[in-house]
Amino acid sequence: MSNSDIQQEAQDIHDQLPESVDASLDDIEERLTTLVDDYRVPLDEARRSVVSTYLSDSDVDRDEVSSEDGNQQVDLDEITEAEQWVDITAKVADLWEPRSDSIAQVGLLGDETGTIKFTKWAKSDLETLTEGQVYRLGNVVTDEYQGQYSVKLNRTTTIEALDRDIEVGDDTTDAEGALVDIQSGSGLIKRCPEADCTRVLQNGRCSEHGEGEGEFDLRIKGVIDNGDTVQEVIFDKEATEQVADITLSQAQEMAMDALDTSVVADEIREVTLGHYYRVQGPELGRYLLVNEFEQLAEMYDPEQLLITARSI
Amino acid sequence: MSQGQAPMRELAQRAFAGEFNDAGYTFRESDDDRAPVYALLPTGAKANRVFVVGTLTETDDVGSDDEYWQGRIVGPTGTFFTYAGQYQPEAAAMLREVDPPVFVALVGKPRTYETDDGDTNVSLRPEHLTVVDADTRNRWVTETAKRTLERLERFEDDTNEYAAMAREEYDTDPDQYRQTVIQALEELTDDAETAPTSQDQAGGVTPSTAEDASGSTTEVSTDEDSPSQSGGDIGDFDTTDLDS
Repeated sequence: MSNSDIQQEAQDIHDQLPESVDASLDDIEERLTTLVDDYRVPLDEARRSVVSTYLSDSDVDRDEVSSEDGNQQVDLDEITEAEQWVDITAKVADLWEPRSDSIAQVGLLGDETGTIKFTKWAKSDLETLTEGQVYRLGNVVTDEYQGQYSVKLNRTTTIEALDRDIEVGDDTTDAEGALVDIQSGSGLIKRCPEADCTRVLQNGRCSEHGEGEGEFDLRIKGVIDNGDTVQEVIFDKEATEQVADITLSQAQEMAMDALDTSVVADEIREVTLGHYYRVQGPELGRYLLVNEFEQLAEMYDPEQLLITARSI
Repeated sequence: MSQGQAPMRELAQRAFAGEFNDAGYTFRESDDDRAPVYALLPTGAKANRVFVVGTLTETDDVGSDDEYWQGRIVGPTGTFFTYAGQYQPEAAAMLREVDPPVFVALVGKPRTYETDDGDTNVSLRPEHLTVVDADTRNRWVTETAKRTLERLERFEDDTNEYAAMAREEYDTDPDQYRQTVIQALEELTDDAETAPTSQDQAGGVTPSTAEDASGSTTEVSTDEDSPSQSGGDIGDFDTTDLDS
């Protein structure tokens, strides 16, 4: 048993013990070393013993402390609570561009039951995840923001690449109908530049981080209506650029020329409202986040409808 | 209707002009000042908002002091009228600048007003008015046919409170709206030159769907040979004439 293994384990235990437990890193490491080196106790058993010792000295419930083998292995659609320590097995479905240097990797994990966003912090110093690869991830923490769950990888997270594939579950829905409204907050917007904050600035202010320069973004908050059901949708920058045939830089130029960002939303309304679209993507709260869309040109079959009309 | 702070967004109903222009009865479902106003569609549905696509054939500033733009939007079975003034600046600007004829899509609210001779006219107050293409127009026609037929199929349901309301408030036979649907669809299938193969055409009835640019009246030919047609005695009818 190498010293570095013990140091690593000690660090893990130290990270996971509740603040209320008075345990120094050195103290933990010493106890571990004694058990492993002097008493030949296997490391995972030693770990268990050390954690128990600290916990019995305090009033902390053992369940509050995560450990790799104590966590529940969960499906992604079972993640419905924040601040839970869980183990998951999932495929890296998508990797996104981190918005800040403090994030090493960010993207989407998927298993048979659905997908979830993950964030891997730079300071956690974990191995790099590869898109399309299936991993068993031990000890990740769940988080929630505006009803959407995510998992965060941390220093104690174990990453094990598995030699198998996962058919990522389809949690996307689709909607079809006319775009009947484009709501305020659409067009050229500014987002808070703080790490992992994507809030839209209102009058130059982020509700969390205050006054800021902000980064330009494009989006459409719209309503798709087919005369039977109403679905609110959000087109992100890429989808907005495509559907409105406008680029972010063109939008910025337009706004600059007009000294007004609202001209961008006006332009988007003019070219998209009243047209029919089929959109597809995951649902977030009451919105469908548009991943894919197409403009609909085809009709319902008039012959078929005529037959129905004549038979009523 | 309201659920806490975020009331449900009202659906945009689909109806042909022949039906929409008959929807002169309006009502609210609560005493709240801000409760939505609904127009009652004669096929048995409430409409706080409608979505309409058709040909904008004429625009006219009918205001006296301020601009008040009228637009005529012609569909396969009649004409929708829309009015936009200072409170609908985008739609008013569009009506001022557009060069008809052009296909337009309109999302708007039904509005009714009484004429001097006591008739109730129904028009549209636009929320959005945009230029679209022929594909969008044709899709709308089939979608509107589909939704209208769905309403007609539910019309006899005992639990259909809006159908009951329609029977109470209107003396129109809902079958005339079925004829409207047939008329609209036949125009499309003729356009596509997919010669109607059904035996319905065997009687040599040529659907007449001609509409002049003013869209003031529309002649309707019924299909005399349609199977199980109960309303064959309806015959020709004029769409509600909103010219006044």
